[in-house]
Amino acid sequence: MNRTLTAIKEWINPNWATHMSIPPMERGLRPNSRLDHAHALLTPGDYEPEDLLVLDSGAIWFSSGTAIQELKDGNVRTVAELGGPVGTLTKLNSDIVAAVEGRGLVSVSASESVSQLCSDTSVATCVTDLTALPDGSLLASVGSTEYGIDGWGRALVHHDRSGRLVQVDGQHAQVRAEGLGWPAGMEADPDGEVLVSLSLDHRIERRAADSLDGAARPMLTNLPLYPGRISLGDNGWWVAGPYVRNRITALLLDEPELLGEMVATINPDEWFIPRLRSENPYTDPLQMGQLRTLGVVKPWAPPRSYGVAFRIDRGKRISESVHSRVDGKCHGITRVTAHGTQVIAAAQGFRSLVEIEEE
Amino acid sequence: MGAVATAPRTEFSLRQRLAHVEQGLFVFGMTIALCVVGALTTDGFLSLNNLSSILQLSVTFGILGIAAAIVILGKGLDLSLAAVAIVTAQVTLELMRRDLSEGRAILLVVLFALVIGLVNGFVVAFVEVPALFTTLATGQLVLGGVLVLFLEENIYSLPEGSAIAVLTDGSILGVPRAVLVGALVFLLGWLFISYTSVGRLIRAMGDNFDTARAMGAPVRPLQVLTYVVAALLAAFAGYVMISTENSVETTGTAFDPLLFTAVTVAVIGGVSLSGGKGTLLGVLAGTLFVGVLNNLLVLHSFSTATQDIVRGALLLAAIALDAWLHPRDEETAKTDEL
Amino acid sequence: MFGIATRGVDAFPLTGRGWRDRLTPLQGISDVIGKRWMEGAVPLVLAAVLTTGVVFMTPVGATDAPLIMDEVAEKSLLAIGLTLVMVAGGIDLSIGSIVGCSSLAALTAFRVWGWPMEVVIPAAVILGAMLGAINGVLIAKMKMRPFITTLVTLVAFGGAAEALQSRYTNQLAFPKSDILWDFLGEGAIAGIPTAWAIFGIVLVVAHIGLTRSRWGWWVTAVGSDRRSARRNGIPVDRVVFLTYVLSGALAGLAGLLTAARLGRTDPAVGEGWELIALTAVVIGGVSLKGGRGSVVRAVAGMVVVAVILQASIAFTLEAGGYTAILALVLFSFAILDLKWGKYRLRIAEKLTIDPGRISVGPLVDVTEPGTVWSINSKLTDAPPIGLGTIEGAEDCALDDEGNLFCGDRRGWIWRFSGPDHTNGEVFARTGGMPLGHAWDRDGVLMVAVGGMGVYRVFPDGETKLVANQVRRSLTSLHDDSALRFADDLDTAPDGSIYVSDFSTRTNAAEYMVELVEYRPNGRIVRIDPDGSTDVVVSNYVFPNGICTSHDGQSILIASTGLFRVDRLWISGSKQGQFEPVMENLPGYCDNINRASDGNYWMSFIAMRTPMSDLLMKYPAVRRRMTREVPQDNWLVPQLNVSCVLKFDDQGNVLKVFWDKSLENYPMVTSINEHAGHLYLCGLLNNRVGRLQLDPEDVGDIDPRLVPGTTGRSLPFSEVAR
Repeated sequence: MNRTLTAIKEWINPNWATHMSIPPMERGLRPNSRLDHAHALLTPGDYEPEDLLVLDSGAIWFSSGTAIQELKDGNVRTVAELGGPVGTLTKLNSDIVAAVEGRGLVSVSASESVSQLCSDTSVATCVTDLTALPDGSLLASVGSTEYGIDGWGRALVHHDRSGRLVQVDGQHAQVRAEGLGWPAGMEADPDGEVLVSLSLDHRIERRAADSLDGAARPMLTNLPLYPGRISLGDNGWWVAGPYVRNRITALLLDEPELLGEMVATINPDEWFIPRLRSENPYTDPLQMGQLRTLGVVKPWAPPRSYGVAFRIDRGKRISESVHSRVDGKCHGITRVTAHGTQVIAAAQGFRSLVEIEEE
Repeated sequence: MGAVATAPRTEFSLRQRLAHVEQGLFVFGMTIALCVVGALTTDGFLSLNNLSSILQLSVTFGILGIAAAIVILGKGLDLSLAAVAIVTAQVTLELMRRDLSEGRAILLVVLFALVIGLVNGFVVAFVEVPALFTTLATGQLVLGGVLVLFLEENIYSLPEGSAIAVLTDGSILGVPRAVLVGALVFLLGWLFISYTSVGRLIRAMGDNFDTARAMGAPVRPLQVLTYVVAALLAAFAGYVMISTENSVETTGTAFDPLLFTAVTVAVIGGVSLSGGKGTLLGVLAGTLFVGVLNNLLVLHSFSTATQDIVRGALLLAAIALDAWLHPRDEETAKTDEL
Repeated sequence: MFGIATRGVDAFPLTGRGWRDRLTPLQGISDVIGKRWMEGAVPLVLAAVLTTGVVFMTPVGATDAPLIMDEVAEKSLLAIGLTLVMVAGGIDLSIGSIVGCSSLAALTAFRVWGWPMEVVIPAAVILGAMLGAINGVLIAKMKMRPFITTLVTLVAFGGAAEALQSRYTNQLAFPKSDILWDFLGEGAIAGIPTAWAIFGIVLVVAHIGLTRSRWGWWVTAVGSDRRSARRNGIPVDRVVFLTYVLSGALAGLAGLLTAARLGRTDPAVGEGWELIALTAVVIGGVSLKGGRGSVVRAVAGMVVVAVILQASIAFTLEAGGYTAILALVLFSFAILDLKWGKYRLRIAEKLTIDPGRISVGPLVDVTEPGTVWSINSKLTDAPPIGLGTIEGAEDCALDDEGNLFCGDRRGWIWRFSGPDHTNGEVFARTGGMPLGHAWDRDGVLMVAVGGMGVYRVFPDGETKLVANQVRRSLTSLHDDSALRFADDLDTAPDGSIYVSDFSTRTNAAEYMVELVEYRPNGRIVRIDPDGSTDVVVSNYVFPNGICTSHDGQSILIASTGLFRVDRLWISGSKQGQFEPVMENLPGYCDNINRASDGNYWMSFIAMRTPMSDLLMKYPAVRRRMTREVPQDNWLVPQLNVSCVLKFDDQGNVLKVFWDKSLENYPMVTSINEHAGHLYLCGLLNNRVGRLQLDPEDVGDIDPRLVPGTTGRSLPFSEVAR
């Protein structure tokens, strides 16, 4: 019915036809190749970094697989084996808290001893980000109550809106907000507000720390990507963009019959949704613009995987961004951390950590 | 460093100098000339009675002329004005005959005129049908439809003591009420067009539609507004008409002489059909011109036929003069002007 | 439109769909709508519908036809005149009064002044012409606005008519008879009433004049773009003046006929006729802006109006009702015609891509290790020829001296000579997109040029057309006689050439539309040695590779869209039969060429993927994709993958080569074997690869020879034209 009405409106006056479109990457998000020129800190392919932290000593702790690894002076060693896929890391006082899928929140002390911090079911699975609130408690964002940490694709195709914000105080966990579209990143502001990035809504918004389920003030809306984790640095917040919006995915999400059959019959790895890396062309369809012509894939081809992260300055605008375009390899950025003058990104699609140089 | 060249003095031809004169003033001049001629050749022209009757008879088509001018200023054309005026009178009287109170009848009819104006405006602005066809069709439709579906008598007369009759009866301070009413409408119309921002935007839109739209003027709602205002003014003119004539017939087409007079009054007054040009002062001048002309023709006992011919000839002369003074430049003229 | 048009073998059943999928109604609508004569279609069709509706649903019937024709005959003269004026970009509202004037003048002249009829008749017309000339002078010479001017002359002429009437009322009341008068009013020419006959003549003359004479073209030019007409030397003023004179003259004629028919005076004659004529003209699709219109359609509009008039009389509606209905009709037609004019071509464009459904079989997973399909890098290191100089060689050919000829998307054919094919030069220029290369029986190079047809290329670089047309099929709305997308070709032992026509609807540059549409638009054409063409397989879903089999008795045909290879027998016991060789391949096939060991080489230009296979089942989603999503984002099968395979006559896949890196030879479109090397060509590649084959793969057949022939007498460089 809706489709017929739009067709009629379009026939009466073509100017009334509205079609969905993806906003272009412009101004602060104008594409460049800074990620491709970034210096890889690990040998690409060895690890799959999910999240990273820079300690005061200069060592980098990152989560990969089921362990936390440490990179120091070019050497990698395993800090702790946690028994389940390790997701996000955060500093709490002098400990490092990690979210382990299936196990809950685990705390690793400076002496590298592991202890269970919170095993409440609300933070047992799918914790996408952790942040320390000014009052000493932890805030955890849970992407979805129905899917696990690797279920972003399923959440996307099922239009899932069951994400939560959970406040953890020692062993005690309390759900503070519900019904969110895969909150993928959070960062607490010193002045009592929390920045939340809602992946499936392409939005970053601010919520008051003491009333997280209250009114949210949008900060950036209608982004051309699915925003991920947020880190506060010296000159603003760095936001990672693991996935970029694709017009065909948008069309797909609007066709319930085709979507249902795709979910039922095709392997989730082969769904036409954004991914961290593009590896297996033998099972991937092509979008016309990605065709290799005269030996070249054009950088502005429609992206299936893309590398992008951007910095929001104090004026709440995107002031710079780093990209790896369609002809590059450094895709799937899951975290960017600024430590002093060092800006380090976890490029999970590239399977490495990269250090981004200044412009 | 050479001497700065002085700009050559431009010579303006007679035509260009005349073109710079405000057309309204021009027509005022012509009216006065006509009055002089009339006074010299006709008895009874200059009597107060006669002059007052000129003014009184001019009010109806003067108000219609304002309505037409407002639409034409926005580069539109409204051929349904006469139909709306006539139908207003007819329907109000029919409603009163059916024992509806006068106030209610007037309210209903004004609402009806508003709807007609909205339909005209919507079809011209949003569906983009040329105004010529649209208003022609609505005029015919309204007139014929009301006649067939609603009216039962052949002629309606204004009942005694009704409020409408009061509109133009008698005089205040020696000036006939009809004239006061007309003057008030002119004043309001002039203020609206010349001094309000809506009026200015209408003129801008008529002058160059695309630029006005690019500037951000809400051109389509403005178009609708002009047609609505014109329809409401036409309804008011209908009341004035029935008030002065006391009766209205149910025969007639939408191409009523009233319509011709309204449009020509506007065009002669300088409101050019290409939109955006002209003032209501010019419409006033045109009204007076046509009023005096009509009066002179009647006083000379010309038959209707001769009247039509003479009137037609004089109007053609006025339009030809306008065409000579403001010629359409072949290179820059907009293509779809009629 | 109907996939019913079949010549030769009907390949439609290969798609696995039923007869309902043969019909493409939307595409048919698009084809019809796009035709030029559809410009005035909607108003006319609606007029016809309205008329039939009225005829069937009201008391108006066949008996009223003469009355209707009388009305039509007279008022159509007005409509014709008004059409002329409007096509020139003006409008004439005074025709009603001109009718009144001339009818009164005719009666007056006849009854009061006693002029003979022979003078009265031309005088009436001349009077109309003179009144029209007044309009013309005012509008064309003095540049007054047509609308307001003719509005005023309407009143002025009306006054003149009334003056005439009032002066001679009494005398006019006496009827006087005259033969000519009666003839005009009630007589007949060869059984047709005079008025109708006169109207018919005027209609024919006006139609021919407007559409086929120079003056008519001038009128249309002035109405479409006055400024351009003036700059082109057309005397705009004179043309416009003449239209008003003609309009007046026709109105005068109409007045004369009315007077003859009515036989009485009536100042109301002609009153309101201008509105009736305007309505008729709008119904007939004449544009208010000028430049578009036809007198025939205006007359058709007048018929509608006259029918409505009869109906309203039959229903005894008052005058008000008639005008109201007419106004409603005018309204609706103006809106419809406006929208139609604006959106016709846009609608045609929107409907022209009509995706269809194809039934596909299961997909083989080529990434599974251990099958014949296992991915390898055998092609990756093939040394390139012409790297960076060639742009898009779809196919190549080698002559006896080892020179390599390949195409270029700029329309050229390159020749690379020398021991390692290092000397490249542009050998021939085709002016199209050279696709398949083959040698004919006489050793001359033949190239299928996309967009142009099949050409022979001679050693001096000159090209000569072999064939580019077939007979147009009878049931196709769309003209499919041109060989639009000649892709691959090969020679049969008897000298005839078989060429695949990728699509009858899209051209070579837009092949991706076919990848999304999946309709059986392709066919195989046979070109006989004498140059005549014939369609041997039709309704094929993009046929691509053509190869004569090693025994010369059949043609192998690769279908890109159906991922299969079929065989058409051309001689022997099974001649004319069509049978499958390989079905349900995991990739989209391109060219086929013979291998030296009795087998065949074929390339895949794209691989099937689960997502693209799924999308093939949803034509509605693909249609939405083509309309809403820019072409760069369209989802198509994976074209960035190169795959070359070798198969035998029974359809077994023997060997598969890949370029795993996808960087050197993505999308290999054709492979040619010669002297132990395999030459890899890619439509979008900037090189031709030369892969050295394992000795076990090389046999002793020369793949370039036409099967059944033993060798060429002359090398290519010495073949005469």
